[in-house]
Amino acid sequence: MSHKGDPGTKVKKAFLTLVVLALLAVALQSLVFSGASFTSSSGNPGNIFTAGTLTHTNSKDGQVVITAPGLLPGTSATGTLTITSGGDSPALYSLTKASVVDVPAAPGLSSALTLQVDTVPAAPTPLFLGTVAAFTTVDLGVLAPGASQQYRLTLAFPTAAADPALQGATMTLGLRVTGVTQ
Amino acid sequence: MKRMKVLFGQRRMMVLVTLAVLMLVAAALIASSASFTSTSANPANTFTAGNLKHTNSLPGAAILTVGNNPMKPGDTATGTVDITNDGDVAGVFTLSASSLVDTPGPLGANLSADLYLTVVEKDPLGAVISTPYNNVLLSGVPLPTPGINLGSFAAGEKRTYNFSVKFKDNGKPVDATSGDNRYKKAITLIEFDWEAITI
Repeated sequence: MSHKGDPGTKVKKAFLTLVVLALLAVALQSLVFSGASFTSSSGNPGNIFTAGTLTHTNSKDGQVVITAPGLLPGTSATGTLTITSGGDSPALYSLTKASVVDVPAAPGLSSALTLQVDTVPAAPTPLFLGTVAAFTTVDLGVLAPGASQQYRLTLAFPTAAADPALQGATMTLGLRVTGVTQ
Repeated sequence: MKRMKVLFGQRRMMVLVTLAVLMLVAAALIASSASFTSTSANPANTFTAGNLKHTNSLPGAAILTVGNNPMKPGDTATGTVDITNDGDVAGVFTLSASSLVDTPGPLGANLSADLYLTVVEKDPLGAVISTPYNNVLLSGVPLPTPGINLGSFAAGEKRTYNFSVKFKDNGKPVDATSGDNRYKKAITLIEFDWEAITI
């Protein structure tokens, strides 16, 4: 049995007081060392990335370039179109055969007629010369934004390709111009 | 019995008187003693708070911008920035991106979906030291934190970072409204943030 005045009670009280003080000290230390820092920050705003655009105009867009009714062996027909490049960057343009319809299918007039593609004024060597059947695509060259280039297309019926079976035959050729940024 | 009490009372009085006399003597002895002393001091113990700060060679400005040269598929925008810890304590630096804003073009695609970010730390001779971001899709860059840990910069240390953002070329579109054509006239805006914290 202990009393308030007992030496044992005083020792216990002193011990408890020391424990509480020690705990408080530990807690205070952890508060002091957790999360106190200096910081420094800076930013680089306004980094802008803008996608460009590529456009072009075709002087014969949606129209027929060459019409050659009654084409005979040894004759030819020509047509021209002008490509004007737009957008923000140079582009490589190409002329592609989009479709060909021969009536009759065989013998097909496309196998007899030749297609020649030239720049205007003409370069020493045409961009393409061959039968329509063999034609797939031809590079028209690189055009800077705003630049224009005229092209001449010539359809010829070579005498050597004359075939009585082709009399009255028709051919419809679809062409597509495409630009690709460089 | 009465005599006994008187005797005890007299003795107690004598003891008390004797003690009082002894205390007076002791006090006189103490008060009059002479001693040698020696003292020293350590004054001016100064505590100065350190200062963590850094400079950005392009403060508040863009590192990358294409300006009047809009990007086409395959193009890369580049820029360089120097980050210097010009405080007097070391700090751990992080780089993050924030405020990503896409303005799609007429065909509706967000350009950030095909922009790839690379950040390379180089030494003064151009040798690669580290690559915090390596061909990371811009729209996937951590926003805004935690960012990329760039490590500890000693006081006074400067590091140079080369930024590049590439517009991926996905090949020739099959028609006017597909593939990369969807990005025409699209705009992407982003901010890069640097933060340092004491170690």
